[in-house]
Amino acid sequence: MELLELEYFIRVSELNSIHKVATENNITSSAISTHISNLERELGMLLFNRKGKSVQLNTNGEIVYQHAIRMVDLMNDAQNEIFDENDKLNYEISVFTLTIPKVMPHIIKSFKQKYPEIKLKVAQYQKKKDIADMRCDVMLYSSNDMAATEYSKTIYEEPIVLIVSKDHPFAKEKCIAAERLKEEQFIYPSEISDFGQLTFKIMERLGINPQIAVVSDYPSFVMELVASNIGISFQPGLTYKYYNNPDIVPVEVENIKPVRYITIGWNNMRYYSKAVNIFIDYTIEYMKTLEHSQLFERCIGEEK
Amino acid sequence: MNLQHLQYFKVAAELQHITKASNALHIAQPALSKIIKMMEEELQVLLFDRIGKNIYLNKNGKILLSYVNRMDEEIKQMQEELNENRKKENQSITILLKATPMLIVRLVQMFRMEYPDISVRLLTYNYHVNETYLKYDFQLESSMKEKSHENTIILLKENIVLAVPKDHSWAGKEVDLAEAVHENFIGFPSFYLQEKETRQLCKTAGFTPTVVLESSDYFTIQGMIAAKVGIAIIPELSLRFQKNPNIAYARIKSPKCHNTISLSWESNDTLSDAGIKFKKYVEASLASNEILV
Repeated sequence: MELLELEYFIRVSELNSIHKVATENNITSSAISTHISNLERELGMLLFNRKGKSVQLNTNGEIVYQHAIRMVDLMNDAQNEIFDENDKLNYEISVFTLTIPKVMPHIIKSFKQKYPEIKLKVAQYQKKKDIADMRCDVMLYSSNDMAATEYSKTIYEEPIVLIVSKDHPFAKEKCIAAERLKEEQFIYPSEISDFGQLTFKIMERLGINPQIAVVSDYPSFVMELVASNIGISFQPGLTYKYYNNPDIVPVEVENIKPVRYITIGWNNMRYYSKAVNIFIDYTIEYMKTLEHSQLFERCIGEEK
Repeated sequence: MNLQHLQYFKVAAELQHITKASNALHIAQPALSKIIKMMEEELQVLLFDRIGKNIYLNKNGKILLSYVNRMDEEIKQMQEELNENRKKENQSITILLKATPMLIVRLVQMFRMEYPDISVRLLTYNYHVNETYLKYDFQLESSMKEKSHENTIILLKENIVLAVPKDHSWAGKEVDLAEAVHENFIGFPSFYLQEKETRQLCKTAGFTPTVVLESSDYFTIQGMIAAKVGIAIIPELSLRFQKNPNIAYARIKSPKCHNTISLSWESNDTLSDAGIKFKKYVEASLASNEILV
């Protein structure tokens, strides 16, 4: 049995298609088929139900899938630990990021300059899953609470800011009384997103039942809507900062300073390699350079 | 990386001697040396310190060995789970019912008497579920088109008849379907294969049926016929309408039509032990005419 066979098997299971895996790996479908048949012959059983072009794991296949993933992971971990033992850093770490989409490219860029020998494989996902189920070394996500496990660390306390169009009357003021938000139209996140739940909590704290103009989780869309003065919105400070839209102004709301936490987590089932350690430390240091005060810089600048 | 090679590595690590290891593995000594060298190249480090014919695991080799042991555990556990699964699958069969002819009830009942340890799951086909995601051993279909597939058993071939109220002028007669052009029909939901075929049959007879009511429930359909709401085109035997005293039948002279109830499976190689037993049982029952409608 080849580990390569297992790797192809895992991908075929995930994509339900031999053809897609062949395209992904730039080899022929028949080559993938051969690998899968070899595996089935060695185990003495079929692993898929085949219906036309689609393939679906049967009950045996589901069992093999779980173990195949762990075996491939173990082999990668072995290689990584051996590299670490020999002070080689030429390997790949996979990062899933579920948050800070605008900051991540900057981290990756400067990390690659400093550590060209470490290959970063970065994927972005919309919805949070358990890190144990995600096949990655490191995951970045946001949460409403501080991280509280041995294999995660909160690396940034991100202020949530109220953003308004520069043409909005609030734009001329420093601080808004919560009462006045009742009259406003909001660009609001959907309730299924993590940020939506956070926004809901903020509104609850302010005692406001918001009037909702548009619901959207898509930051660039939200920014445009706010800039066009269609509504105002609570947004993560970093999102506001990195969109850097000159038509948008952040304002403070009296008596509240809402925040969320950016957390970095790693897979405690896997070998914690030096490269993973370096990446985590690097990300923590990078986030420290982002000062909260910068978020309000332009606003203050304009006043001067 | 080849998992077999990892096993060779493990034996070499334990015996600390290339010749001894190659003897134990029943492979030629140069072959073993070559495999170990290949592994070292792939991992880009040496795994052994070599002193003459003696080989000693170095720190890299020790790391690899600890992972190989964990991988062995993983394989062992996988084999155990696969065995468990095989046992479980050998104790049950699943039949996907794309039609619900009553003969399946009798068949399952008789099979269970012969094999009380094998449980039978009957999965009712739902048109909204993607078939690819359903797991089953057999499927049961009812169709006016006769399927000829190598992994198929024809359980029953029957006439298609018109079910009419008992005092209808056609009761017990033989008619051309074309004569039913002005009748009201009770049908199955239009996405049922059975209904599609029924409408096709009417088209062949030269008319489009006026369907006044659609239902997926046989009892409702029977009740509606008995209440003279309409008539229905049904297979003669498999639905067992004949038990209803308020319903009579008319044979269809033309167009020529039959209904076939068939049991099929994906391939002989994939059948579990329980599946093979069921298949053989059905074949034997057919041969001895035991499948009663």
